[in-house]
Amino acid sequence: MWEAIESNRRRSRVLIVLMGVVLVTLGALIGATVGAAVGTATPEHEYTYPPRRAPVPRGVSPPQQGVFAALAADPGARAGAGWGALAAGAVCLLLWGLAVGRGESVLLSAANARRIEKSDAPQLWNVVEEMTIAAGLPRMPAVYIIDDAALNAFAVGYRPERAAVAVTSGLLKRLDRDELQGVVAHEIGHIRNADARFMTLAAVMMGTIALLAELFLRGLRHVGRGRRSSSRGGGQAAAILLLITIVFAILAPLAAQLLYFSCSRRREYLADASAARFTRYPAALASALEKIERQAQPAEMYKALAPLLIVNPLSGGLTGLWSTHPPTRERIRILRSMGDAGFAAYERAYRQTTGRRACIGARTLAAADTAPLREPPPRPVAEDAAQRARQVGELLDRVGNFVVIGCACGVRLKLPPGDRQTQVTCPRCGRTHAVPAAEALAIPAAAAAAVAPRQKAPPPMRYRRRGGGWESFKCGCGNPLQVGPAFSAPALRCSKCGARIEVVPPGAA
Amino acid sequence: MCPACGGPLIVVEFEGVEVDHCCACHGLWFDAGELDVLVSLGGGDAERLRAALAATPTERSGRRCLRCGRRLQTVAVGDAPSVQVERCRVGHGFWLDAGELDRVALAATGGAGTPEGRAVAAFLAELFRYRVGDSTKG
Ligand SMILES: [Zn+2]
Ligand SMILES: [Zn+2]
Ligand SMILES: [Zn+2]
Ligand SMILES: [Zn+2]
Repeated sequence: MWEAIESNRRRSRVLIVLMGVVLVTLGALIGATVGAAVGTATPEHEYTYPPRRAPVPRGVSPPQQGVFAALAADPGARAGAGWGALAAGAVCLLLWGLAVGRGESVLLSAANARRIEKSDAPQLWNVVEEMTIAAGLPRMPAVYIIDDAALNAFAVGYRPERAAVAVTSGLLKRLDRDELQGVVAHEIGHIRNADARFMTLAAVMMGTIALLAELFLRGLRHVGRGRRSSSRGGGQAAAILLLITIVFAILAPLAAQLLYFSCSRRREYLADASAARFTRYPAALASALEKIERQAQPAEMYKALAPLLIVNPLSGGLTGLWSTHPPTRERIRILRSMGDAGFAAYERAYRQTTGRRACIGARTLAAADTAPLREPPPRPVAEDAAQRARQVGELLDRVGNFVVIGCACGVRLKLPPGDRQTQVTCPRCGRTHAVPAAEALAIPAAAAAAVAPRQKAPPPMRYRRRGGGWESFKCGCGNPLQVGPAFSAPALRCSKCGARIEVVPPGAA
Repeated sequence: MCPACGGPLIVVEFEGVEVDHCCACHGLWFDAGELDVLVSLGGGDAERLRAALAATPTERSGRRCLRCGRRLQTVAVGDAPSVQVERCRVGHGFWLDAGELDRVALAATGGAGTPEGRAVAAFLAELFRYRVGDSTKG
């Protein structure tokens, strides 16, 4: 294993440096273009419009000299390029710091992922726990869920101790336990093989390149509208520079992604091999991949990362981690033709299917053990997909902090976290429901007087449970709170105002 | 917040389909795909509905998409008389004013003259039948 990981690490460094070069070049070009434009429009920092004089260029340069001609002819462009490159370099460093420091949380919040606890989704939690043990990770990664109908999953974490696995609600709905285990094992494989560190860094860099290019192109559209006719004497060289920058701004995000994919291929195979080893049931991952491939939806994942990227320059995007690269069909065929669950079996199946060799290093193979395939478990007679969908829906309501009211007519009314209504009317049957809330406890006058000096303390409250399942209600401060089936404490504290809320079990006086 | 009147929105879930419902004006927001599912639940043709909703937009609406905040565009669904519904430019979903839902379903299922058209319209009207202050129902 280690030689494969080692060689991946070398490739990653090269890749990150190349991405850095793309980023700095983009920064320099944008800087030069802006510098040239500013230099042309306002010599000596005086804003005159239209320009009093056109300082550049003296000689008309042939197009092929492009950038250099523009740089040579225009001191504004030269300074701009310097500053732009410097800024891009600084951004690079900053990003690296960001990715090292808190890259995973940036990516997870950009993907709108919410952290869950064991009680939220016991099955998913157990699967992650099992695979953590199977992979021999020192600690279990955090588990996140993303409200997205697309089938997807990813692992992030610059450091193993901050690693996280995120899966979409679509994945939870559509995959059975074994398939889910296969996917989670694949992601844990990424963490185990130290891919997650690279993936985190690369995703943050790709995001910045796309962001920078987009900002430039967008800004250009605005400027273009304003000063189309004033480009008199702006200089052919500057125009060429502008053109080159535009082309580069369009190509840079694509280049970054191509670079990324060129390196991710082996990682995917290796993570598949790891998943097979951890689960001893490669067929489950294969059938999960089949479901993921079959989904008709466009790349929702990328849309989810939109806050980071602003626009989607390439429909495919990070979804490629799962669906486009390497070819999913090939991965499925390899997994299906494995003789046992060891690395050697994966390597054999890989060679047979692709005709290529050396997916896994020779030393690893020599040391690798074989592991018998697990017997496929007996299929449940009728797997209740509808029930699974309902459970996932409830999980999403919980992590989304909705206050949920079940109406007798069969619909469920869900109030978003900021909602201030105290009662709602069902649009189907017209019943009016009071929004469940903790009631303020009457404080005896004497006690109230004793408490009075500390006015900051929120008043104690009481909530009567309606049943034994998951229940959501509002604290007096408006903050939505939940109690689960396992809740047995006499009280809880509001996470926002800190008030103590007595919880009365159902049926109690 | 409701894109039409600024009123509070709640999510109404029925058989796994989630609809954002304005408590004040009773307008409805359907995320992409949800309306298809709802119409198929009522026995309608989701393909046909999709085709009808994909009509070319006539104008920009003043309201904004619930998901991305971009201005919605108005599309006319069905003919004689058509229903004006509002659609997100990048495909996040649709906004229907109170009373438009059953008419959209009708337009997308062959009209009130066909039995399945009537069935779907009846199903949807039943689902959102209680509308306080609904201008179309009085
Ligand atoms: Zn009801
Ligand atoms: Zn509170
Ligand atoms: Zn409204
Ligand atoms: Zn939208």
